[in-house]
Amino acid sequence: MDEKQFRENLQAYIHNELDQTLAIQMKAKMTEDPLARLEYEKEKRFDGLVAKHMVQEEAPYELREQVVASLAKKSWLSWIPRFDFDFPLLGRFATVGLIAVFAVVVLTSSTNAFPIFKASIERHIDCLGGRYSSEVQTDNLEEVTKWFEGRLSFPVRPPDLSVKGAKLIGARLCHLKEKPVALLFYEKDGHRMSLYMIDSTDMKFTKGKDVSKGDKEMYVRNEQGYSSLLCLDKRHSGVGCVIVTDMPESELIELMS
Amino acid sequence: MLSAAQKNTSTRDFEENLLKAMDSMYNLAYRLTLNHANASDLVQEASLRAFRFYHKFEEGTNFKGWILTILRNLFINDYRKKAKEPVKIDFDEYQGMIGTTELSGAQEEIFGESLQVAIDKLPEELRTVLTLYYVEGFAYKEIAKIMKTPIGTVMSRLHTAKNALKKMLDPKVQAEI
Repeated sequence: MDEKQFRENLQAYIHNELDQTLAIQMKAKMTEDPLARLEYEKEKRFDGLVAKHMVQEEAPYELREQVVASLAKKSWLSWIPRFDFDFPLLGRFATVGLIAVFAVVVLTSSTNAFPIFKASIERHIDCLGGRYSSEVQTDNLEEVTKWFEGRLSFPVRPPDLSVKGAKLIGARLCHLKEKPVALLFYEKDGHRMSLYMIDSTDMKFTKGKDVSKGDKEMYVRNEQGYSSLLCLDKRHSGVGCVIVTDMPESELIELMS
Repeated sequence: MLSAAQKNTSTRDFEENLLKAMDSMYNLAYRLTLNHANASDLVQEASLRAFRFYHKFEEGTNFKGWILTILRNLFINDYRKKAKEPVKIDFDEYQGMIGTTELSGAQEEIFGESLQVAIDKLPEELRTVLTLYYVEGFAYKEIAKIMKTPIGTVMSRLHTAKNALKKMLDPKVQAEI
């Protein structure tokens, strides 16, 4: 093998992309020619540096949510039946128009309450399904507080539940409906818990069972086998939290009291 | 025609595969457009297009490769005109190769920063081939399929890209070795 062939095949050899015959010839060349060996080592080092330092950009979590929402809209549109009017396209628009009017009537007749329990339980189920993993994996409360600085418009101070046997395992940014929230993951006795910290200023929430204690306003609701507890601490005005778990309701209330 | 249940399963499968591939899509989109906002737009459009054509995807084949192909084709057809052109530079005389000695921590940091800047200056096809090999870990054959070029062209582009990077590296790093 001459030098030109060696150089032409060097990169593919380093990347294990050469067929066996050529690979053997390359190895033989390096054994008999120290300069070829040196060139191989230099190229391999450079290749290693490039591989090490090529950064992978991570998709922003808002993009994931937007894409999923777009897909859901597209899926929903595919269910609109076509009517055989003289102008089929007009028929499709007419159907969409009727559905839109119906939706407006229903929505305006309902309250403006934020469906905090339903949204948090649905998100918790998504988390259990592996859709939302931690962006910061730690049990250190300070580290989590620092990580959220500048990421949300309100301060995030994760509650220390360790005295009650619940361990913080990670956190990430998330949304409940359109509201950005801090999502904290805890674990206790095998029960996974999702705790959402939300800016509750001027917000009305859907009703739950009142289980308030002391200066902690607490409401609880059970849906789909999960307990969801909303806690509005008057000492941290404006920042509320809602915690979702499959733990029994009484244990959850005790944990958050 | 798919039943309602089949449609739901198909949508769920697509979404699951899509979310797993999302980082790779964004990564390639950013390397192509050199702009975070355009990268997000490109990912969104590619996702919708892939969803439309999901019935053409063969189960058991490489979903990531398939969707990255769609994304890149979309870029070439629709986005290339809008994308920021890399700054054309005149390569100086070749400064010298990286030696066999190990880089220190500080030198590695400089190298890392210089590398990102240098990659952004390369033409699109070279940025693509570097990303698909070094970040996504595709084999030459898979890269050839995504880029719709022969394997020989993939090898040649990788070679060209690396030579270009060597020439553009921070002279400080090369001087200290």
